[in-house]
Parts: sequence; C-alpha cells; structure tokens
Amino acid sequence: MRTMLRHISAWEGAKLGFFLFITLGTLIIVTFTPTLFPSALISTLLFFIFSPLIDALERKGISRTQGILAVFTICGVLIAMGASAIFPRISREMEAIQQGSSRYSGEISEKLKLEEKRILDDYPLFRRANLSEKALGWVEKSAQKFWNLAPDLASHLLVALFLVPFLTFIILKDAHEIRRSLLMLVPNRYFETVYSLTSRILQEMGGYVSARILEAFLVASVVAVGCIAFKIPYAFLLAVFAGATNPIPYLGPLLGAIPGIALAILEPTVPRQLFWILAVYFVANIIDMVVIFPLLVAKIVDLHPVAVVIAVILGGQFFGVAGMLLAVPVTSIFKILIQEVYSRIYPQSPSRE
Amino acid sequence: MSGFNKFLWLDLFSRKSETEITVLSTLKSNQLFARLTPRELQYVSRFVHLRNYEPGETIFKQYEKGLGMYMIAKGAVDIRVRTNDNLQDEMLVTTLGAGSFLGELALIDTDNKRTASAYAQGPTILVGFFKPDLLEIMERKPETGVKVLFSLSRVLGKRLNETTELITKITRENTPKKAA
Repeated sequence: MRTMLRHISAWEGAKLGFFLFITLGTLIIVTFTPTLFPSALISTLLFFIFSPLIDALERKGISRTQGILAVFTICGVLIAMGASAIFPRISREMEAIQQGSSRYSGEISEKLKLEEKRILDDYPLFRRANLSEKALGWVEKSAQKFWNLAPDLASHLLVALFLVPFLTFIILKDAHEIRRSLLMLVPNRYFETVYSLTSRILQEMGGYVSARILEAFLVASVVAVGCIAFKIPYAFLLAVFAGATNPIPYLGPLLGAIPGIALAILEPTVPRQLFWILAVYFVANIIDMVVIFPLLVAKIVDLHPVAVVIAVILGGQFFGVAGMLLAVPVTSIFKILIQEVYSRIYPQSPSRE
Repeated sequence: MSGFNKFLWLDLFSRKSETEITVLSTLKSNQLFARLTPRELQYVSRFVHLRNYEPGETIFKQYEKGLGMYMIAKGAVDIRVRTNDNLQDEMLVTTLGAGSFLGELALIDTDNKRTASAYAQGPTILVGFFKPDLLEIMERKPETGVKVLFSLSRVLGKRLNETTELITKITRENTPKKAA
C-alpha cells in the first residue's frame, strides 16, 4: 500500500509539473511575443468587459454564440458612429498639435536657453556641462526613437486589428471549456485548490478590470466636460490621455495632467487658462478619489497601500507603463495565491471543548 | 483509463463520447439533477468534471476546505473519520457505491471544512460538481440553477430530519426511565 501511495505521489508530481509547464509556458510565450502580447491583453480585457453582458443575454434565452455576435455587431456600429463623430475632432486636434509642434519646439528651446542662462549666472560651475545641448540632444534622441518605433507599432496595430476580434470571440465562447480541459491535467490531490484559485482570480480580475475601465471613462468624461466648459483646446485628446493613464495607481492622475499643464505653459493663447486647467484636473481627481474609487474599485481589491506602491515601482522598473498598469492585478493574484495555499497547508481542525 | 488520455482531441470525431455518456448517466441517476430536462442535463454536463482515481487514492481529507460534491460513476469510496489528533488513526464509517454522492454541503457552505476523509476503494470514476460550477449555472441559466438548488435543499432537509430522529432515538435510549 505504502509503495502504491509513493507511486501515486510521484505520478501526481509529474502531472502537476506537466500542468504547470503547459500553463506557465503558454503564459511566458504570449507575454514575450511582441506581436501577440498586446492582442492577448486587449482580448482578455474585452472578455472581462463583455462577459457579464453575454451572460445576461444567455439568461434571456439567447445562445452564447448569438449573444457574442450581437455584441460584436453593436460594438462595430458604435465604433463606426463614434469614429464618424469623435475621430474627426481628435484628428483635427492631432493636426493642430502637429502644425504647432515646430512652434512648441522653438518655445521649448527658447525657454531652455533662458533657464540655462539663469542657472549659469547663479552657478557658473555648470558652464562646462553644456546643459541645453544635452537636454536638446535627449529630446531629439527620444523623438528619433519614437519615429523608429512607428513602423513596428503600425504593424502590431494591423495584427491586433485581426487578432483581437478573433481571440475575443474564442475566449468569450469557450473560456469555460478551455479552463475545464486545462484542469483535466491537474492531479486529483490538487484539483480543488487549483480550481478554487483560478475561480477566485477570474472573479476578482473581472470585477477589477470592469471597475477600472468605468473609472477611467468617468474621469475622462469629467476632464472633457471641464475642458469644453472653459474653452481649453484639445479637450478630447486631453480627456483620452487622462482616462488612459488613470488606472496607474498614484502616478496615473499626475501623468494624465502633464499634457494639459505643458499646453498651458507652451501655448501662447492658453497661459491665462493654466488656473482653469489645473482646476479641471483637480476636480476630476477629487471626484475620482472621493466618489468613484471608493465605490467601484477599493471594495474589489483589498491591498495595503505599501504593497501597491512597491508593486507599481517594480512593475515600472521591469515592464514600463504596462508593468505599472498591471502591478495591482498581478499583486492581487499573488495575494489570492498565498491566501489559498496557506488555507490548504494549514487546515484548521475544530477546537476540542 | 486516466483523465489525461481524454484531453481535448480524443473525443473530437465521436458523436457522443464515452466520457459524455458516463457523465450524462451519472447526472441522470442523481437526485440533485432528477428534475432537469434532457436539454438542461446536457447543459449541466458541460460544467462538471470527470475524475479518475487509483485504488487507495485520496479524494479529500477531513478538515480540509471543500469546494463541492462528487458523484460516484464507477467504483466505491471509503469514508473515514479521525479517531484522535493523529493523522494516521482513521476509522471506516461507511463505503459508498456507484450512484451515491458525497461532499454536497460544500456547495452551499461558504467556509466548508470536510467532516470526514474520502478514499477510492478500487479504480474509481467520480463526477465532480463544484461551487463555481453551480454559481456559473445560476448566472447563465438561473431556472436550471434554481432546480438544482431546490433539489439540494430537499436532500439536505431530508438528512437533517434523519439526523434529528437519530439524536432523539439515542437521547431516549440513554435517558433513565422514571420509576412507574
């Protein structure tokens, strides 16, 4: 009997190893394939957003495939309508920025020279450092880097355009079956632990992603309304940027405000509006901190602020902006993992009275 | 045959696989799913998990956190309880055969701890139905989920009645009779 149990343990260990090899291997391949990762990430986000909607349609008696196709059609129509209404405005704003870019660069270099003169008058020691030359060199290098990346970005965008709808459809339709097939590889002894873990992670991630996207949308709306009300130019672009950076914990709201503040400093017609731009961002973030975040997000992910700060720093250090965005959900997954494994390793027997 | 051999592609070309037949017949014979229509049974069969056990293999241990119930499709399961704090000292309480089910309390109890350990007696096939499966059915097809929950309540109610009767009987037997 003992030999048989030892044999089972070795077999279970091998099965667990194979399961981890398949799942972690797939995860690593997807994460480190530049063409695949953005599409997979967007599809996963869309899965969390659309899943409750497809479930609701299924409750009404509509099959899952029909539900997904209906949602895709509605989204297609909405995107087309949005594109015809908002995109021309955004592209006009982009063109205006492009036209003004030479003026902005002139402004920047002029302001840099003035600053340099002031610093050199105060601290002559820095004369040998060639501050303005170095700063302008860095700006030029960064711009060059961006333009070098542009063809790659365009090809990734093209791949994503085809891959995202396809992957999203597959995940929405067969997520349960895919998970069930993977769970078949888990040895019996660890099955309940792995199943409970994946269920908790999926549930928490679903809630977190939906809440953060809704939060970003609401913040972007407040910024857009504020900018339009105070006749601040590039309202939609500023709103989209504020919404997109908002999910980065702590740093997001500050990053989101940079283009608006830069605009107020550089655009000659805007300086008087600096106060109003700051007021718009301030009000948007106050509404976010006091109303939106506590109601939508805080209840879902219960993490200590120190853990969040460390996670954001590590995420930013190793994976840049994507790492900062994913820091909180990944930390939350680790938290669930530790809680679940701990409760399985130390099962509490009822106290004897 | 282990569950691993059935992974993904093996049932690709058969109209109704052996796995599917085993799952459907196990569900059909279980009182929890007795009220479901054939269409609903088919739907539920997509949520359950077929697990194969070697002789003597542990299904779950006493005091472990439970996630759901197991229905016995083939084989038998020994139910044992600890006689003291020593992990090795367990006493056989009963042996459950094909058609029986175990661990159903974990489906509704949020922090359920298994009250006994379960081991496969011989080569055993179990159909697992867990809390996330029930919640997903409730989310996607509430009328089917309600039928399963109602049957589960009936089973638990019946077991509560039986336990109450047993306790009453034991209490009566142990109470000294008053002198006439």
